[in-house]
This record gives sequence, C-alpha cells and structure tokens, in this order.
Amino acid sequence: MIPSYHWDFSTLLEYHDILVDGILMTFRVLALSLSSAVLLGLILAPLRASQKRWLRLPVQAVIEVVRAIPPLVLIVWAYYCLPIMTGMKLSAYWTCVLALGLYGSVFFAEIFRSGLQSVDHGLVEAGLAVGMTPLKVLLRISAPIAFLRILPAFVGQCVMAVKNSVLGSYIAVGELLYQGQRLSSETFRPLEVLTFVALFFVVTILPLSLLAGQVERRIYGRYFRR
Amino acid sequence: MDAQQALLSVEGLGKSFRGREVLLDISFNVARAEVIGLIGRSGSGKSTLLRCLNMLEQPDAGLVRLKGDTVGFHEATRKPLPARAMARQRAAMGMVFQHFNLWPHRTVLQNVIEGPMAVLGLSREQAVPQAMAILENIGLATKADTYPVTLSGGQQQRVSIARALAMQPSLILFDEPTSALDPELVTEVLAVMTDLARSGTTMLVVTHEMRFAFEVCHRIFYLEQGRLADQGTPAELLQRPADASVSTFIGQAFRELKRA
Repeated sequence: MIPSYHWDFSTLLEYHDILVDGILMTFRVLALSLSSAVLLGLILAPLRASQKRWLRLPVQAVIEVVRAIPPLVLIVWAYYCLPIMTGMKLSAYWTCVLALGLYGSVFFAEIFRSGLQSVDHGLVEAGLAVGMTPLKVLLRISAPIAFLRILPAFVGQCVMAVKNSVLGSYIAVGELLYQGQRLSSETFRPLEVLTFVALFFVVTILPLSLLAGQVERRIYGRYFRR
Repeated sequence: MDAQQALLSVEGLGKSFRGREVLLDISFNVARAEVIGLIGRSGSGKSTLLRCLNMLEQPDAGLVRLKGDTVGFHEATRKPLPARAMARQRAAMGMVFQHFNLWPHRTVLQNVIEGPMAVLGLSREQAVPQAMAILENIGLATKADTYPVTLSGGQQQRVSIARALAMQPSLILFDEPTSALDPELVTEVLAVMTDLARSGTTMLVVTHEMRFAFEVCHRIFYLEQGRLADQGTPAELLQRPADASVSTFIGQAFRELKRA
C-alpha cells in the first residue's frame, strides 16, 4: 500500500451518473449477448450431436474455430473487418453483442451437448416404453435431467459472460470499464474509480458462484447421490 | 391357439448387429393372461427379443402383432410408423428394466403418474388416486413423495413395476428384473411379480430365476444362439431327456428337485 495516498471516494458520488450509465450499459450488453448465446447454443447443441455428418461437421467446424479465437480478437475483428467484407456497418454496441453472443454460444452448445449425452440411455428408453414420442422424452426427461447435471458448468459460463462484457470497452461501447477509464483519466482518481469497477464485478459474480455451489450440492444430494 | 386369437403374435422375427445374427426366425403366440418365461444363457438373445417386441430395437425381419395390429411398421412397405403411432403401440406394452431406469428428477409418485398424464392425457386429479392405489398394493404408498435415489434396489424395481402398471398395458415385458438386485432384495420383487401373474396380467419375463420360471410361468421359452430352441410348460420341459439342450441349461440338480 501507499501510506501517503489519500483515498477520496467522493469522486464516485460526484460522477455517479457516468458510472450508473456504465453499469446500465454493462447489463444491456450482458442481457442481449447472454440470451443470444444461450439461444444459439440451444440450436447448435442438437446439430453438433446429430447423427448426420453433413449437419454435424459444419457446426463442429464453426464451434472449433470460434473457440480458438480470443474473444477480444473476435470483437475487434468484427468491428473493423466485417464492415469492409460485408459493406454493413454496425454500431460498436451491436458488434459487441453479436460477437460475444457468438463466442458464448459455442461454449453453451458444448455444455448442452455434454449434458444431453450424460443422460443414461435407459432413462430415455423408459420414456419411450411408457409411450412418449422422442420429442416428449427430450422435453420431459432428457432436458430436465441434463439441466440438473450441467448447472455448475452453465453458471460458470454465465460468469465468463459477465467478465467478457468488459471487452466491449476496446471498441468504445460505453460499459462500466470504458466509463471507469474515462472517468479516471478525467478526474485523476484511477484508484478509487477502477477499484469500484473491480468491486462491482466481485459483488455481481460472487453471490452467483456461491448460490450455484449451494444449488449444486442440493441437486446432487436430492437426485443423484447413492 | 392361432395368431388371430393371440394377444401377441410374433412371426419369423430376426435381428442382427453388424452382420452377427442375434435372433433367428422366432415365432410364437401369447394369449391373454399368459405368463411366459424367457430363459437361456447370456447372449442367447432373450433381452434383444424382448426389446424387439416394443421396438426399442428394430427387428430386421419378421413381424410383431399386438391384438392383430403390426407393431412398428407398415406391414406392406415395412416403413417405420410415424413417431406418434409407434408411441401409442409402445404405451400398450409396459416394460420393466434390469436397472429400474426410474427418472431421478421425479418423485416416486411423479414417476408413476408421468405416463398417464403425459401420454394418456389424464389430469392430475385422475392420475394421483390411481397411482396411489397401485403404490398401496405394492407396499410403497409411504414412499410416494421421496426421490428414487433414496430407495433400495428392490423398492426402486417395485416402483418401476408400478410405473408400468399405471399405463394399464395389455402386457408387461420384464427384462431381467431381479438381475441387478442384491440377493436379499430379489424376493420382494418376485413376490410382486407373482401376485401380478396370479391376477391375470399378461407377462413376458426374461429371467435367470429358475424357481420363478418353473413355479409361476405358464410356458417357458428356451433360447439358444438366437433361436427358440425349446418351449413348453414347466412340466413338459422337466420331462425332456437329460441330454436335451434345455436340460443341460437348467441343470440336473434343479430338474431332480422339481420333479421330486
């Protein structure tokens, strides 16, 4: 620590509207990119698990390629290269939402697929044997059991999505990190402002992780433990 | 009994896995209220035969008829039936699995009412009393609200029998229902099955429990290398000469014990 430094958190109060703007933008980016990632993941997962090669292989290729690209590179590439290649100019906000949505979706797809594949085939057969159609078995048996199994991985990926939302600051999406950096250079109070930014994420993510741990133990104890 | 009156009739059923034939030209009829034991060595095709009856495995040849309707296929074209039609036929055949296969995310009661509600379209008000009556019968009414994972293997298997019964099927297929159980739990499951058999339930039971097969079943099918090598009433099979294949399978000691 630097003993001579005089902490002054009043800066935060004074410019709270900038920080609140940042927080709201973070939540907007998060809400859209996370829900599109989950939705796209739900679509990709069954394709990735398909028996038909012509369905599975292209999806598998997309998943592997996107997984190999650092998310920041994906955002920056989409921001600068997509408009040139397609002639379509998207705002920084939409570029960020789409890039993060795509990036998250491939991870969700793999999580959903592994969940479905972890469901004991005997439970599926039991559903078929009482006369459910394969679709009913998926909706009433496989999907709920898979969801219980993947919940920890699912929450982990949501936490990653919260963290990745700050990457938009690189292309000036006005979310919390971007607003925080702007504020800290204007007020010369980086310690207070950036500490606030860091704490914001601790406060958002930590309860989520703790809750997930609790829920996981309860699920395991109630449904699966022998 | 001919194929017309039979509840279930199987004609020339065949199945192979990757070129290896596991079922060959199997034909038989089962009448209403009949209890059939399927016995034979591991790998003789007993379980595959059972699973071909409700199309959990697709047979490559032959037909299965339930109450005269061809199961799983259009008889003329041999095209698989649409998913809904196939599901309706499966609903008429209950199945009890070796490893119970109770749905872990549902309570005992929910496991039992799932089929009636999701498949037969019963309301909860209709399904619950019926399910509770069945659970009462098999002595598990007090466990209705617990999850399967908390039950012993024997209790789980009784619940899975209740799940099959709740659909009021025309017949029930049992696939080695006691093979995964600790020896001391086998009795309680066999007791429930014996009650069912005595009350006129049509049953096909793949089993290694020779006592159950010879004391409870009306007829026994002996499978050997995918063929229906022998069949008959327990008394008939016990009278086979000592060098007949079924006799060597069930063993000299057991034959003497039963004939005495």
